[in-house]
Amino acid sequence: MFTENDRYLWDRSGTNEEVARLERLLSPLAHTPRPLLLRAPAPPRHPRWHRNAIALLATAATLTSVVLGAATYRFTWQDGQPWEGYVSTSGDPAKSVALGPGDVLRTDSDATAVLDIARIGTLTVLPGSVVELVETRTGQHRVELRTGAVRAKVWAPPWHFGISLGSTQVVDLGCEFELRREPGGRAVLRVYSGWVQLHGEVEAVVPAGAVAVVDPERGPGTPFRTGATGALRAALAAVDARSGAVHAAGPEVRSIVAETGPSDAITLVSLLSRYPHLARGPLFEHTHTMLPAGAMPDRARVVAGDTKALAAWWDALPYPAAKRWWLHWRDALDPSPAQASRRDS
Amino acid sequence: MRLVEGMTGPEIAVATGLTHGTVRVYLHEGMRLLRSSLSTTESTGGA
Repeated sequence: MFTENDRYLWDRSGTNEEVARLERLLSPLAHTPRPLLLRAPAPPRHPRWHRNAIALLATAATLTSVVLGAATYRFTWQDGQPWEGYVSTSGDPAKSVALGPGDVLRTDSDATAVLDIARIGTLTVLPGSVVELVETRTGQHRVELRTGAVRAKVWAPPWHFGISLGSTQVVDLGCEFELRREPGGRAVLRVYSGWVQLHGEVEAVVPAGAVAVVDPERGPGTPFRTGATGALRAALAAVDARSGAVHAAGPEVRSIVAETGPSDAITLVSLLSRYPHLARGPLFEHTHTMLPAGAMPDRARVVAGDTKALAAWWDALPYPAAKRWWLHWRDALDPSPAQASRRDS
Repeated sequence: MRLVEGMTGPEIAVATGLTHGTVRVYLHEGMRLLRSSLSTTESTGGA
């Protein structure tokens, strides 16, 4: 039977000291709800190599941005902005000079001028020379060498800088070269780094360590290395003088075969490119011996003038590819002549 | 649940799904056992 004391036990109505005392004693043991302390998930910890890779990529991206920005500035030039530099004469202080489009610079027999080619290189005008600045703007800087000698050092993409010799254009492909022009128009190109292209009635590409003679009538001759023998130069001159109209097994070709070795590869490949019919003779096998590049090219295609037939030999030449002008980055480190002149004044 | 957690009989019935009558019986029986245990402890000098 449910009594008054039971009511307190049931729903706390009424009183019951016994139950109340037990509640007071036991209530400290009651469950105290507390919020769950869930640990925040630890951030994913990348392996060390992953963290290093991210750092390297970030650094590379930053460096790339800096390099591209510097390159953009270097290759940009306001149309017609004069080239600055100085002229030095033995015994006299250097004098500042500025050359704008249409201006002609003449150096005395004992004077040398050094000019900034915009921001892409330097042009040294040697004593007794006459040079005209024809054009200067972004991607197109041209001078004419009327007579005398100049030395150019350029670090820029191909075709940014060139020198006119009248009907023949000397086009820089990212390099350093010296060009001498005689009063009669004959010119000699000597390349020290990179490549230079001779563009005229015929074309020629001249790599570092090679020389090419430009005839005022016939244009560029076949390039040859600096140390080529006199007999080889004479044979090449004879072939070029006749525009290649020599027998494929004639004395000139036999002389070329006898006087060339592996270091004359540019001469051999240039000959076959300029005068394809010479592939009918011993020059073809001789070139393959000097420049092994896998399978021998198809002789018939070479004779037919297929320029692609010689691609393997061109690729096998022991020089940096002409398009990789940036490999000659050291040419970009020379100080600006104009800056040097202002510093020394 | 009644003395420690402080739940009433009806709350215990809801939480456990038991009927009120069953909860009443359990509460009576629980008190009886608790009194018996406490009496035993006192007679033996326990805490």
